[in-house]
Amino acid sequence: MSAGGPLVLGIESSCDETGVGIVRGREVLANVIASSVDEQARYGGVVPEIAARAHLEAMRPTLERALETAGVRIADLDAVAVTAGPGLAGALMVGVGAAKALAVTARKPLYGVNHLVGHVTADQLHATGAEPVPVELPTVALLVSGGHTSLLLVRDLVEDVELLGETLDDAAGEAFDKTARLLGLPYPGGPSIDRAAQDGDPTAIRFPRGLTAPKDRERHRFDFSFSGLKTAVARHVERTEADGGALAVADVAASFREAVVDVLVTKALDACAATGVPRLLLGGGVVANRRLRDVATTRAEAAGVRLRIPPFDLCTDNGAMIAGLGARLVEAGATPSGAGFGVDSTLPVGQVLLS
Amino acid sequence: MLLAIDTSGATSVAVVDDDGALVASLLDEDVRAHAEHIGPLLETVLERAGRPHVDAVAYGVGPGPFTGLRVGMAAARTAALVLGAIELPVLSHDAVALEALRRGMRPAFAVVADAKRRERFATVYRGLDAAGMPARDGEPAVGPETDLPRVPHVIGAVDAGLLGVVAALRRAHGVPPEAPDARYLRSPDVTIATVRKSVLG
Ligand SMILES: [Zn+2]
Repeated sequence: MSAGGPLVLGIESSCDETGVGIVRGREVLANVIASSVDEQARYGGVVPEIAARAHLEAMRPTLERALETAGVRIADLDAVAVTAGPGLAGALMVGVGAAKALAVTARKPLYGVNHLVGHVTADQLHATGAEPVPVELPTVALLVSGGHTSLLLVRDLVEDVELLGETLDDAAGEAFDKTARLLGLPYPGGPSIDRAAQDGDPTAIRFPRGLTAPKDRERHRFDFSFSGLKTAVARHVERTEADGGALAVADVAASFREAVVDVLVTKALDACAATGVPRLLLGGGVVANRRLRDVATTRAEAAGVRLRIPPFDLCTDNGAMIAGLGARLVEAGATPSGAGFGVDSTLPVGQVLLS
Repeated sequence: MLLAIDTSGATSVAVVDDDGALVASLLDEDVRAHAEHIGPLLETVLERAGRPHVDAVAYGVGPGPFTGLRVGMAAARTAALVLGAIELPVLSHDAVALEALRRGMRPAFAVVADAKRRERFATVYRGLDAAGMPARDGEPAVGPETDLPRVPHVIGAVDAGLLGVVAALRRAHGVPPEAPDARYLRSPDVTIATVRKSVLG
């Protein structure tokens, strides 16, 4: 093993980003991402077949750019890691096919890993020359993207990750996309709703906060639901049009965003209180949302919870976090997955590594 | 040596020498587990061939069901990168056509394969090219069974060994390789919601 920790290449292809990252221990040497977001834009959401086709085209060039950026040779790698799930099956298979060929032809150990645990690992990575980030465990982690909305309790990255709750319908990012479409705003919905909400009044319309009523909290205390919110926005838009009024897009966008952010932060901090863990980690592409970061920062401070938000390029789906998780597994002496594992689009978060 | 991979139907991996002689090959007929099988097959075939020096990687570009097809293409392109080998894309049906020719089938005939959704992929072959390999009459097409070309049909699994032979002999005769793009023959299936459904009931 090389000095500074294992040299690991990670491949990520669970949704619409083709990511290849290379880490040495916790140091990120390369984090190259090719996205099909522009091709998805005209459809207003991620079309699995478009994502899978884009992965195939991007995979080899992305691998080459990552190796070039890191300045390492394939022969020098200690291991290869790849996202095996959860995610879009056809998209995952492109990454797994590439990773297996890489591992078998270069004769490297291969780790098929859990995408969500990769998001948590992102917090432990640092850029070359930057101060190493101290690892703080246990932590509650809130992972929010177009593909997932999950609350986790992480006691140990490799051995003990527990799912506290997740969305029962749409992912938060998906709710942003669908609401943007309702309001005639472009895809992806996160940034366009953020822009539209800038001059809006977040208290103008009281949209519902899913699964926060006392009876829901009994069974779904840490679960999320955004379909009711989306319907409420649709109803509001339709009523306004039926009444012949002008739609106050800024107010609707701001009120919608406030409802999403409120539920996310409230449930995450409730999880910290319930588990007695005063640490909260944010991850996933929705972390780009300024309002989410601001509200989380203010309320976490008030609750005495230490908040961690990795740099944005490690929050979105990326290969470095997968490489980082691979490096942790190598350090922990985990048995590699071998060459025969398959993808699992609903891989449970408790399963960090495929065998 | 040439490494050949095809996942347009089954999962198949082979090593072929520069003269087109088969060194090692494996085929798994399971059409639902390409991502699982590609690793062990690749490993076993390379071991059986004695971990040879590979300077070209041939791969099937379809047509075939997309999800599986991409697994082999991604694997082959990555293997070429690792091994410092050139990529030799091959139309997957060419391998089936070669087998038919070797069995004595006379052109014209069509290689026909399941395209799901009650449709078929079909490629018509009319003779031999400069390398003595199957020569196509036009491009592969997808359509309902009733539209299939009125020539004898050939159906069979794509064997990477034969695909490798096609690639090796074409390369030896200076026949340019196929375009590297997957032969999807269908645009990505999308339904775009243009009309908003009422939620007021
Ligand atoms: Zn993600």
